[in-house]
Amino acid sequence: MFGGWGNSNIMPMGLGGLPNTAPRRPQKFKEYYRCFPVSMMAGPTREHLNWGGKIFLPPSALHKLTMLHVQYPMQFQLQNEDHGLTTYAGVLEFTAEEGRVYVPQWMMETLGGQPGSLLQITNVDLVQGTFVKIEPQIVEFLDISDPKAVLENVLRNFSTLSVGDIFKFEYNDRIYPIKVLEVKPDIDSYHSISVIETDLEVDFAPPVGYVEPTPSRAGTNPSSLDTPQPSGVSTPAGTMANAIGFDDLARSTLSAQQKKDPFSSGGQKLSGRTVTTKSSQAVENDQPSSELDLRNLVGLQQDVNHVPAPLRVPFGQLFFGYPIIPVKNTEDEKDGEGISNEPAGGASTFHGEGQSLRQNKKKRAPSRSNDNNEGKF
Amino acid sequence: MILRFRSKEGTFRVNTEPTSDFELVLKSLVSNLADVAPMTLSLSNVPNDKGQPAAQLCGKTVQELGLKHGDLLFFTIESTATSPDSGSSDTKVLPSVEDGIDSAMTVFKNTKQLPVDDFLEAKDGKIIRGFDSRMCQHGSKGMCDYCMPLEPWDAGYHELNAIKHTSFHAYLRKINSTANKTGSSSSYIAPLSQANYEVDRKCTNGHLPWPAGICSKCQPSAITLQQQSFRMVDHVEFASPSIINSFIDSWRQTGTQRIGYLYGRYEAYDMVPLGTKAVVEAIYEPPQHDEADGVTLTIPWDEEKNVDNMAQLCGLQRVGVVYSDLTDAGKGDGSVICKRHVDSYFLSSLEIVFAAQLQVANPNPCRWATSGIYSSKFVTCVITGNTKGEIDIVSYQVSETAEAMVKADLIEPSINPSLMLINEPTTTRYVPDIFYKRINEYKRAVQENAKPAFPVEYLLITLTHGFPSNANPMFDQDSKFPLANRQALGTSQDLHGLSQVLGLEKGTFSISPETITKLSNFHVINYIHSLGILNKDEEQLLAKLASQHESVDGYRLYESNGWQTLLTIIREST
Repeated sequence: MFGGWGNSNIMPMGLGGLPNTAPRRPQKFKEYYRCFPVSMMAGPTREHLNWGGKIFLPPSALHKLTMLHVQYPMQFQLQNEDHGLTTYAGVLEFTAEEGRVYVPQWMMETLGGQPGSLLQITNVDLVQGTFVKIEPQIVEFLDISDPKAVLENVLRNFSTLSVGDIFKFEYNDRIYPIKVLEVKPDIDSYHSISVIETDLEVDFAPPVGYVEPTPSRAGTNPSSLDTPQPSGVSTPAGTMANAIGFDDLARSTLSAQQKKDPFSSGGQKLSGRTVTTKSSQAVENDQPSSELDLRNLVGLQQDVNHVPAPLRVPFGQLFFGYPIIPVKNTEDEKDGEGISNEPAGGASTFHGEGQSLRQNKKKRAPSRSNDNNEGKF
Repeated sequence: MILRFRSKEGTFRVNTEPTSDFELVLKSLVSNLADVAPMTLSLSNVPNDKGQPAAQLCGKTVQELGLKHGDLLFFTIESTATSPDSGSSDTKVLPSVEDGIDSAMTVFKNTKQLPVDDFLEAKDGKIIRGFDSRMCQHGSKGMCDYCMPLEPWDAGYHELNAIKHTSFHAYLRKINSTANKTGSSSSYIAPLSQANYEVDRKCTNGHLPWPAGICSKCQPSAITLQQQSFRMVDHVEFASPSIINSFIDSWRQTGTQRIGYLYGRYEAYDMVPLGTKAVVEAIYEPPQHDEADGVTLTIPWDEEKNVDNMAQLCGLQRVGVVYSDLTDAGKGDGSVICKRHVDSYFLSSLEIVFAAQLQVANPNPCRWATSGIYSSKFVTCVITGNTKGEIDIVSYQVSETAEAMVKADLIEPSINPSLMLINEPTTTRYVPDIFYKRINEYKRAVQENAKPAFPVEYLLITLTHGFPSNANPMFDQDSKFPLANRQALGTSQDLHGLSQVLGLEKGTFSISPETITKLSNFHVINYIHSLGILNKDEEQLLAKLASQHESVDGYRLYESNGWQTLLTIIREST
């Protein structure tokens, strides 16, 4: 077994060190243990231990620590000397078997350790942190509606945050890895802060794999169609659309439409020229603008000949993520008819109006047959 | 030997032996009848006579009773339907088919309606017109065609005042004027009847019950969809804008949608002849799961009964549902996207079915209907962007046809919000022919078969909404007390919040106009109820204090045991 009092710079109490007379300076606890993931711990499996930053030490460590007058809360540096990797952790319980330390799975990965490899554990006194910059490792982190509350809750299980760590937490049956990019105050020898009893300012880097939505090409997400998105703000929209498979329903309707004509076939001309049929035209048109079709189908055409798929959800569930049809701006049209031709947006450089010699009586407003609803009354 | 039995249900023959027990005879008799127990019969040997109850005859043999081959007995079935309890408001009298006119009268007399209905029925409702200086040729005391009062359903008046639908009571007057002569109470025919699109499975026309057999009597007739000409509620009035404001705070904070039930009361609305308005005093948000593109109610809602009960103590009832459908336009000026307009949809097919289900669950007691209930006064409000990009409220109801179609399981929402699907017929569901009229591409009114899908506008009724010009809300609107079921927003109701409301932070509790105002909050009294400290009487007192603000009630409440216990508990735990 390693340890004992080996290579510690204090004398054992039993030998009459003078603890009372000497100025009480922090004394070092430095031990070697074999590390194992918490999932290998005896007793009932405690899955949540993996989502924290605390380790399990054997009872003898507590015995030594109590005699060493270490600073509270206890924080440790974990070092894998084989790979030269270091991280920091708090301690949860002193219930491990002698000679072993149990660490969360993410810490095993950070330290590059295999179950049973040696770890040097030294107690350290970290400064209280004021700032941390983190980078979520998956884009789904953006779907969390209230990241502040979630992080506050999750970080309760951590006592330290170290630069370069990728810690993980679980929320809504999903595991979110988060990388620590930067901490303040950043002390050279540690690159780690204590997050106990402190107000932490948190900054987010864009998640790995996050692509800024380009305004030119709308995504397949139905609620993002024609939705002007403020740049940099991602939409957590479409969660219910995903849950009820709205896109699939719309697509199935679309494909059902295309299959509907059983007698679609090509024609032949004596002249040898190709015949363009209706359906082949439709298919050709589909390829570039399938999203437009999707919108037309699901959305708001009132053509009853297109039978949409049923939307079967239990009572009490309401869905609003239909494709958005922008409202026709009637005022703009009126402006266009007016005599003074000021370009509305100032964008059209070559703006003009055609002239007709014959006085046309009335400009026909585009009318629809089924508009029997008004906004009021 | 054969015994014959005659009754309203028809004549029956029973084959039996002279020595067999009469009870066996009765058992074989009732096997011909639906849902009748042998002991509920009364038998006699002369017609139109009640005779003896069956129980007295049982135990004797046929011979002992002196019956011979071919004897004819008359029986009547004792009605097991109990007379309606006139005290409760949700009494439903379901008359059987055979006693038509009598039970219509019974229903008319026994159904207890909402106070607003009784009030409007008592009113004359005529639209008073003044002296028309252009057309009237007579003196100031005279009256002619141009200045006599109009009937409340007058179409010209409605068009002139841009009223899209007549009010329910005006409509009722109109159809009642053709169904019943005014003043003759001897014969009464109920003018209204709830549409029923299900096959009558107890059809007595001598064929096997559906689906094995069907006749023109038991099958529902074809449905022709058209916009309902009347509406049960004309106007939705929110007692204060801050009710809506605190509701959409949820969206402002999280970006997710929200749903809540409207609690309020029905009152007469004088902008429409014989109109009804729903006055909303509070919104209670039930447990739910909010998303940016939808909401899901958590069902069952455990507190439902308690909240309804508390509202009733305050003199309120659940008058409707409200939900938000807001998406920020991203312009940074607080504007929202207008999703619901003429070119898209107003209420999606899914929401129409949802509204219809809620309306079915909240029927309207009405004595003019054959069944004692007719349609519903339950409204559906949506908070969404208007064409200018402002946050606005729109309120709707769905038609009585929609309710009946949902009840008979005929329709299903589709992924196209403006189209409703019609279900396929199965062995348990008969789907009658459904038609609708529309203007086709040649500008002609044509009747089309609605299968497999039809536009949802045929089921929709638009209501108006507004805020009172001089607001006098029942409840305190500046309360900081958190709303129930908003844990997802990081606020929850606790004793600490309650102690702030009661002013226990700054000292002791005393009854003052200020504390009464603070207590007058639907969410506070529901929270106090959920603590379970006050007993029934004290809760009643609390509700009365919250709704009527009488300091006398305050002092009585203050002296009660439960209230003192509550104060002690708050003091100890905060």
